[in-house]
Amino acid sequence: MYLQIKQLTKSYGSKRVVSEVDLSIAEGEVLSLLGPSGCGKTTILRMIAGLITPDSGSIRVGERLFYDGKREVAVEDRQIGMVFQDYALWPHMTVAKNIAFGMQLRRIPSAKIKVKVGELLELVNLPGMGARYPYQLSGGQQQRVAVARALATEPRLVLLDEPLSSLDAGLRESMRTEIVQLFHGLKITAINVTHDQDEAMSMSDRILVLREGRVQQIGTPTDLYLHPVNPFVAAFMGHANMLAGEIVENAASSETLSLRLDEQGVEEKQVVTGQLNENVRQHLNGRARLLVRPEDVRVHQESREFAHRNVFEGLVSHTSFVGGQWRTLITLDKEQFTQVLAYPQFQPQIAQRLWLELPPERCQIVPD
Amino acid sequence: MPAAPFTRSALLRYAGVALVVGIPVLILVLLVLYPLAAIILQSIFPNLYALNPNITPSLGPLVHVLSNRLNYQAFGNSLWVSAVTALIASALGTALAVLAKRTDLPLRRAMDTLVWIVFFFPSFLIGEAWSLVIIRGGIPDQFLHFPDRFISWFFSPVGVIFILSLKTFPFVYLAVSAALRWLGSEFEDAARLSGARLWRAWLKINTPLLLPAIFAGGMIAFAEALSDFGTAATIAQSSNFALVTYQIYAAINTSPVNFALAAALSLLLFVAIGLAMLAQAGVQRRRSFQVISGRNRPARNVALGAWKWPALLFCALVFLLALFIPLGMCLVLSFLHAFGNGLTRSNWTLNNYSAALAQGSDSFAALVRTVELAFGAATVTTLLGMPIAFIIRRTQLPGRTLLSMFTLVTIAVPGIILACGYIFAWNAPYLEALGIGGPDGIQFYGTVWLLLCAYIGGSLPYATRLSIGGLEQVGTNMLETARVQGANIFQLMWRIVGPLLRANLVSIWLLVFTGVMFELAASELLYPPGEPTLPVQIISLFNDFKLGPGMALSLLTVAIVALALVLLRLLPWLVGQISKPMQRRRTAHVLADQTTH
Repeated sequence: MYLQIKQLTKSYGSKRVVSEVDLSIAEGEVLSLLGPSGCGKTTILRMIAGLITPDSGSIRVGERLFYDGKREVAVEDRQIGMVFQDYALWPHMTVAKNIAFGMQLRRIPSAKIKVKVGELLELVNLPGMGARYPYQLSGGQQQRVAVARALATEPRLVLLDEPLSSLDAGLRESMRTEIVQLFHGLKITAINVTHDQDEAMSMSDRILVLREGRVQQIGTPTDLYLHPVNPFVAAFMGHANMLAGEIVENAASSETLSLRLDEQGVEEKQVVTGQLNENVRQHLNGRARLLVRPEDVRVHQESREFAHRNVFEGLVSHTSFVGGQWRTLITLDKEQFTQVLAYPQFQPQIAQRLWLELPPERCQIVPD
Repeated sequence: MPAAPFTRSALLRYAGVALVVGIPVLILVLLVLYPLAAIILQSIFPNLYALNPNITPSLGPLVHVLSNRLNYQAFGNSLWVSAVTALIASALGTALAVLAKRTDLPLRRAMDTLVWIVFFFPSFLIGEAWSLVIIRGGIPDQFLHFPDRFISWFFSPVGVIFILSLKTFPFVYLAVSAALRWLGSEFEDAARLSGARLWRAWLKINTPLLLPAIFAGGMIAFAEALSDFGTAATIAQSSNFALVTYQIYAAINTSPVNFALAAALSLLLFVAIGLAMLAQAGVQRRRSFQVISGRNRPARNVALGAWKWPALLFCALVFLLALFIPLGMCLVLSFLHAFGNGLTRSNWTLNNYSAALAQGSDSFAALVRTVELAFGAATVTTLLGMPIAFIIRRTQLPGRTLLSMFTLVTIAVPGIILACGYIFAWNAPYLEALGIGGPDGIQFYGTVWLLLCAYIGGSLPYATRLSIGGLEQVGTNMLETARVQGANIFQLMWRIVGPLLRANLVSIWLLVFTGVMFELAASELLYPPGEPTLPVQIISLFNDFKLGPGMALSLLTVAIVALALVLLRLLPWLVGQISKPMQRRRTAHVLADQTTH
């Protein structure tokens, strides 16, 4: 493993911002730290950069030990590239001088620096912009300069602190792919901090989801979306319809699991079934939720015979036509407080009665 | 919209515009523009304000005045002393700001408060106190026996620059502190990630980025030093070192009265200060500087390590010199019978205070008078500054750019120049035709009302600029919403802008109040005969060598200002502290609501 973090912890006063975080990253991998604001993701990034000193734990990058509780390598000696949230381009220097700064410190001959600056500007699609000042550039262009500056000293690890959050939506989308292709092409290891799950999913090889300083789950984007280990990850990775209940039986080998739902005022509580992933099993503890993504809910206008028990009746409470689909909220009869989001194939009417089929093979069991 | 000029709401609207736009602008014209114009008129028409006025234009007197060696020397003295002062103040202010805002210096959080106290402390008091510290036969001298060379070295431009630097470094400190907040540490962090050591990141990145703020602060320090009268009237006088502000005062206050000289020197001084202020405003508008301004960025503090104690010692020394020694001297003297008798037991007394506070005494009358004037001036100025700021920043009225320029150029008009203008403008013979002055007209010149107007005129430009600063924090959409809801301009001011700027307005009020309590220059020239204000009374006590009563009165003035500060600043804070647990419960509730989604 190229980067290894062990038991990294940081507190401010009595508040623990980062709590016993373990993380390993392979060389050339792009990893995102994902979580709501205040979850500690930026703190982890800044501890790797050396801008914040951890309370305990260790950070090792490549052959070098950055921090182990006793020794700490200074920021300037870590040889890391970093792209700041609002770029932090030095406003009194031209683009070329911004990029050249780190190379000048390494006493690279000026002719060589000039060539390198030209190459880097080509790389980030800003050829010939070297003589401009940061304030003469658009947000997207400033962003590219910031990336070029981070790459100028040829670091093998680049840290990105919400690098796209200051850009408008359209630009953000195209920059995502651009940055990832750039890093993959140069085989650079990158850690990206973001609170936007779309960004994390489209940019990363793996994602680490954080909440209140604790690691919730690490995995590939697909893994996190399909097999979340808790309701927080499930909800954070995209809209999640979840129904809570008690586990009926827990056979160690079975790939499915049934839940008895917490239905209020109903004699015979409904039992539903979903898939149980191998990685998720270890987190089980008596209670769990049935997760079904909106696109997997099958919506019917009349009752019929179903081959399974994952069926609910409900009334349409809201519907809107978004992105070529009928985005519809349905209030279930048995669970008055639960609204299920689904995309029917037809235009539903408000207060229309619908039958929802949650196919067991598309449902996941999420430990509570 | 159909024309309905006489409906009730239309009338209200016109009245509102007249009230909010007309009156403040009219007052600005009468109390600032007209007196300043009178100085220029006096320079061009030397006999305009004479006993037998005529309007023959002539530049003769102006040229004559400026070719007089004594006069241009005073102006030259002021210029170079202020320039050196600005350099020292820039170095001091920048060092203290960086230490307070970006390092782990012990006690750094006390720095802001100390700097504000220095800022409010009047220069005549610091000047007088330091004169008494160093003077032959003074209390320190009784123990230390200063060599002659040291005393003559201090009572020279050196001492003047020393006092002025201690008095003006807060301007640089405040400018650089604000810039450090915008700067944050990201620019520096980026440099360090590129491989730069801490010192190189500060040298190559932070220093160039802070230069505009240092320059702007230095320019304000220059303008303040140039216009300072308190030092010119105390230590510079004892050193026989002529400064232009005192020269203006002398031209009017010693017979034969020389209006032409006063006008010419005022004009020159005004031009120099105006240029400094324009340079200062120009630097802050530079594009590359704007990139980093507007938003506060997070900052990490630099660990000082072994430098912690030398740095702390340096800060302690600055405040010892700027604040504690002069204040201590004032305090000691205010409890002494006679200065020359030294610190003997029989020499201690409370009489100075009881004399100052005795009903019917001159000092007590001055105290009451000054508090009333300061209260009135602060209230009126605060109320007038807000609408003028509003006109400049949030309306499309024609002439608002001109208005903005005018308030910017006049922000640092020294009291001595304004007072000079008031003498020309409001004692002019032609006013008699309007029923002002003369044996039968309304008495305005030579009354406390004139003094009140001068205080208002002197503080209105900076009150306006400060209100503009506050107003820029208030989004236009909030004001537009109120307009859409049907608020007229008066309601907008009273119900929306005022409450939103409450904290800002309280600061302005305090600033004007304090400024008037310690205002010396304009008061010296304009106080009604037999009705001195506090600073005038204090200076006259000093001049009569009644140091104890003078110091007691000075410290009472300081106490009143401190009381105003505490009342207005601490009360809202206290109320906030008491109601905080309640608020916290409310926000916790909101947070809980949000997380249940």
